[in-house]
Amino acid sequence: MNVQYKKGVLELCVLSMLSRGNLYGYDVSERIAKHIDISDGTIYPLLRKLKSDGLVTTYLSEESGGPPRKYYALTQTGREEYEAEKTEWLGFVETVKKFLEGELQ
Amino acid sequence: MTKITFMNELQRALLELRVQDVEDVLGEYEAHFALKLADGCSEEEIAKRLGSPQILATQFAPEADSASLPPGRKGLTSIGLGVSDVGAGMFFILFGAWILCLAVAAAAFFALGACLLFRINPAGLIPSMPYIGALLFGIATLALTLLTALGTLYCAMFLQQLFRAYARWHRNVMAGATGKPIYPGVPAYPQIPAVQRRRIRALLLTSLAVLAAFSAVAYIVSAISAGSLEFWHVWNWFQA
Repeated sequence: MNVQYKKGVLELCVLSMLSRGNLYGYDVSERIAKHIDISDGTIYPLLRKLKSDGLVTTYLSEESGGPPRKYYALTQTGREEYEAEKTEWLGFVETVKKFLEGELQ
Repeated sequence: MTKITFMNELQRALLELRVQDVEDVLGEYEAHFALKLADGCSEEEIAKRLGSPQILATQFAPEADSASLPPGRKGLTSIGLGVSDVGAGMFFILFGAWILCLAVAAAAFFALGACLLFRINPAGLIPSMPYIGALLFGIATLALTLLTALGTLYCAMFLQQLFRAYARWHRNVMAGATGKPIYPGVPAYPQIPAVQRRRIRALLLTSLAVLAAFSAVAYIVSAISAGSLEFWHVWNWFQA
């Protein structure tokens, strides 16, 4: 699948994951890679873009027996953006489905 | 590709593209390698799955869309926003003053109601009347207090929400002119949950009913007690 095409959708997937709880970068990358065929490295630039857009914020958390991990959390703006994009996306998918199944011509 | 090669190539590509906080980016990939190695993957395997360091580095480079905007647009937008800020600022100040007036009115009604109920007469300000009349007028005044206080509260919430909506709009206009991301708009009206809204409505209707009923009864009782429809003349309310 087209990379640019996937990027926008991946962003929405990451926002969705973070809306259910804070995760560290590796965790996000693993969960996405398990279900979507992209190279593992792609999630990190995406997380950074979300951060520079003000949609997520990061904090360091000490784990038992290991270096501190960088966690990502949604900001208030991120939450609003996620809700807006989610509604838009679901509506879009619904329409595309109707086209593909011949309900719309 | 080994971990060292991957990290070195990534670092070089990031520096070439003038990406900010290179250490921060490298840290994420260090952690990725560490966790994957702990899972039993080989360095080559991990590097392969991560993708090409050069391509990854370009994904960290800030997108060039802000450069493609026509020059001078930012300045023009700033001027326009400045003018709009002055207008909006005056509106917010006026609205704030109105809320202050409402709050003072609510406080005054409360003081009057309390004076009537508890037979307090500071500096002879309360005109003379039988206590039964004062009691009824007092309860009506307290209902009016509640109405005014709720009005004040709602206006204050409205002002706050309007301010937030305006601030977001302001930010988005500027973001649009400088190629930054646009955030979703903020609704202009206070977002009160349905349950609370129903409670507030019930409270408003109750106090309105109490105000109307007690005012009417207070008038009738006073008129009967004074033996005149214009009982205030009988009790010499407006004579110094």
